[in-house]
Amino acid sequence: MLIDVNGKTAYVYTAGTTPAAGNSAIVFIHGAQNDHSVWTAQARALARQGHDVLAVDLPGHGRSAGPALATVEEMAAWLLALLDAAGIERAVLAGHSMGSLIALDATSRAPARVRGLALLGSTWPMPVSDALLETARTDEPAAIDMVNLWSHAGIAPAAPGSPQGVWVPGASRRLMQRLSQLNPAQLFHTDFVACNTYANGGTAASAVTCPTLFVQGRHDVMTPPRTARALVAAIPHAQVAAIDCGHALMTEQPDAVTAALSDFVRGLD
Amino acid sequence: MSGPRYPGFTTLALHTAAGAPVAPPAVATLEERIAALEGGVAGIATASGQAALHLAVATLASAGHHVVVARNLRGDAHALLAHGLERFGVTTTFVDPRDPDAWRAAIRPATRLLAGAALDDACAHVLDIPRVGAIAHEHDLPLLVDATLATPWCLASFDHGADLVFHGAGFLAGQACAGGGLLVDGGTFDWAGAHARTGRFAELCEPDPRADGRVFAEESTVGAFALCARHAGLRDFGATLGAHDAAVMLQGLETLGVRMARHGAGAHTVAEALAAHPAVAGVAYPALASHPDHAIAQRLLPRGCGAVVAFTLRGGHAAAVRFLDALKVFGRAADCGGARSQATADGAGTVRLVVGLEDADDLLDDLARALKLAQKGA
Repeated sequence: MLIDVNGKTAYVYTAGTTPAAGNSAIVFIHGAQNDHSVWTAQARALARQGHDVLAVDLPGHGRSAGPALATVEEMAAWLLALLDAAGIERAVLAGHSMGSLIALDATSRAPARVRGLALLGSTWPMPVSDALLETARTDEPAAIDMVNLWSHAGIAPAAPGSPQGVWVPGASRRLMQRLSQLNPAQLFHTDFVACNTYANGGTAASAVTCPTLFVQGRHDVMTPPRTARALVAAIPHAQVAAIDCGHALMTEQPDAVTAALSDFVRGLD
Repeated sequence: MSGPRYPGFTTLALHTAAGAPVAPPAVATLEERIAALEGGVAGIATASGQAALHLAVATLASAGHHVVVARNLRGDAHALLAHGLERFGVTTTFVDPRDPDAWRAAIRPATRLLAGAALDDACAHVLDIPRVGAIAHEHDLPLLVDATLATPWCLASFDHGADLVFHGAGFLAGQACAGGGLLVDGGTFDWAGAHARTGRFAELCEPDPRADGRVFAEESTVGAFALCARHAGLRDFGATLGAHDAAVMLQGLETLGVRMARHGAGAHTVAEALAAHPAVAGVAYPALASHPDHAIAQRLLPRGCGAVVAFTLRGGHAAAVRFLDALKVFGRAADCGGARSQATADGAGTVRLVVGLEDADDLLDDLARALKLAQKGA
C-alpha cells in the first residue's frame, strides 16, 4: 500500500493484509541498498498466521519517494511517523542489518509502542571499511558485487532456494542493481555512511525493556556474530537464534528465519 | 581495491544447489542452476523448449495482445506464434531481425513482448541483443531470447540486454534425444515501472485471481515474472518437467562448458574448411568474417558461435542429396545437442551441419570425401 509520511509517498508491502489499529502488527525494516522484498517469505508466513504485516521501503529505496535519509536516527523517526500515518499504535519491529539499527533506535525513542524487537544480522558499532565506503561512492556496481559475495554463505548455495527456482545470490544482486537504477543518487554510500556513523546504539540497547530476539547467521562476515557480543550483552534478556547462513538471512534461509520470528512473536502473547 | 570474485561457469554448473545433506529434488536444482549459469534470478523447468516459449508468451500476453518476433525463430516456434496462439487471440508480427525500423514499426500499444533467436538453425543471423533490447526498453517492453543454440556458456544474454531467456534441452543435456525446456527470468525488467507508465503487465502488477490475489511485482521486485509464470502459468497449462528428464539435463550441465568449447572449435574448423572448398558455393557461420553478423558475434559470442554450420553446394539440391548420401561419420538426424555430428538439408539445398564432439580430422575427411562424391555425380 502507498501511504503519506511527512508529505511524501511511502510504500509498504502488506502481503494482502489490511493493517488497522488494534490488530497485532509486525513491521519489517530492510537493510542498505535493499527493499521490502527481502522480507517477502517472512511477511507472507506471518500474514498467514493472522498478523498484520508491514514491510516498508525506506525513503529513496524501491517505491518510496526519496531522497534517502542520511542517518539512522532520521530513519527511526520516519518509521515512527509511518506507524502514526498507518494508525498503528503498537507493533513488533523486525530489522535486518541497517534496518536492525533503525528498529533499535525507534524502540529507544518510543518504547511504549514496541511489543517486541527482532534484530537480524545486527551488530553495533556497525563500521564500514573506508575501502568499501570509497568503492560505494565511486563505483557502485563494484560495491554491489562485493557486498553480494560477502553477504551469502555460498554463491552456489548448498540447497535449492525458496521460492522454487530462485538463485538467491543472483536475485540479491539484481535487487541491489535495481535499487541503483531507481535511485541513482549514491544510495549505497548514503546507507553505508548511516550505518558507519550511528553512535547511539549502546545507549539505545541498554534502554530496551521489551522482549528481544537476535537472529544471527553463523557464517555472516558482514556483521559477524562475534562482533555483536557487546550489543547482545547490553540487552541481557534477549534471546539469540543462530542459523547456518551468511548475512542475507531472510532469503538464504527463509524457512528458518520465519520459524524463529514466528516462535518469538507467539511468545509475546 | 581488489574485490571478491564470482565463481566461473563450470564451478557454478557443478556446485549450484548440489550440496544439500539429502539429495535435493532434481527439478528445483536444475531451475536454480540454469538461473546461476545465465546470471539471472530464477529458472523454470518445462516439458520442452516450445513449452517454455509458450509459458513466456502466455504469462505476458492475453487475447487482444500482440508480440513482435524475429523471423529466425525455429519452425515449430514460428508455427505456434503464427497460428497456434492466434487461435487464442494473441497475434504476432514477424520482422527481419537486422532491421531496427521494422522492430520499431511493429510495436503497438497491445504489444507485450519482443522475441528472437540468438542463433538460428540456418546460421543466418546473430540477434543483435543490445540493439533489439534497447528498442524493447524504449517502449517499456521486455526482450525474450531463444538461446538454445548459443547456450549460456557462449552467450550471457542478460549482460547484453535480454530480459528473459528460454532453451530447449539438447545442448544443455548433451543428448539429442533429451526432453525438456527451461525459461529464465533475468530480473532485469522493471515490470512495476512499465505498468505505471503504460498500464501493461497487469498480470504481474495487480492482484492475480489465479493465485489468491497475490501481487507478484510487490512480492518480488526483481523476480515477479518467474513467480507469475510458475504460480499462474505453469499451474494453468501444466507443461512441467519430470524428475528423470531434469536429472538428465542436470548431468549435462556439468560438462556444458567443455562440450561447447569443443562443439564451437570443431564447427569453426569445419566452416573454414568448407569456405575454402571449391565445391561449396557459400558458408554461413558467425565466426567467419564473411558472415553479415560477424562483428556482432565477436561482441556477444567471444567463446564461440555454437555447433551449427550452414552451407550451400554448387549443384544445388541434387548435389546436397548426393552429399548427404556419401557421409559416413555425420549422421542424418535433424536433432541438436548430442555428441555425434549430424547433417540435414532443406528443400532449397542448404545443408545444416551440427558439429559434434568427434575428432576434427575425421569430420574434415568425411566432408571432403562427400563433397567430392557430390560433385562427381553431377
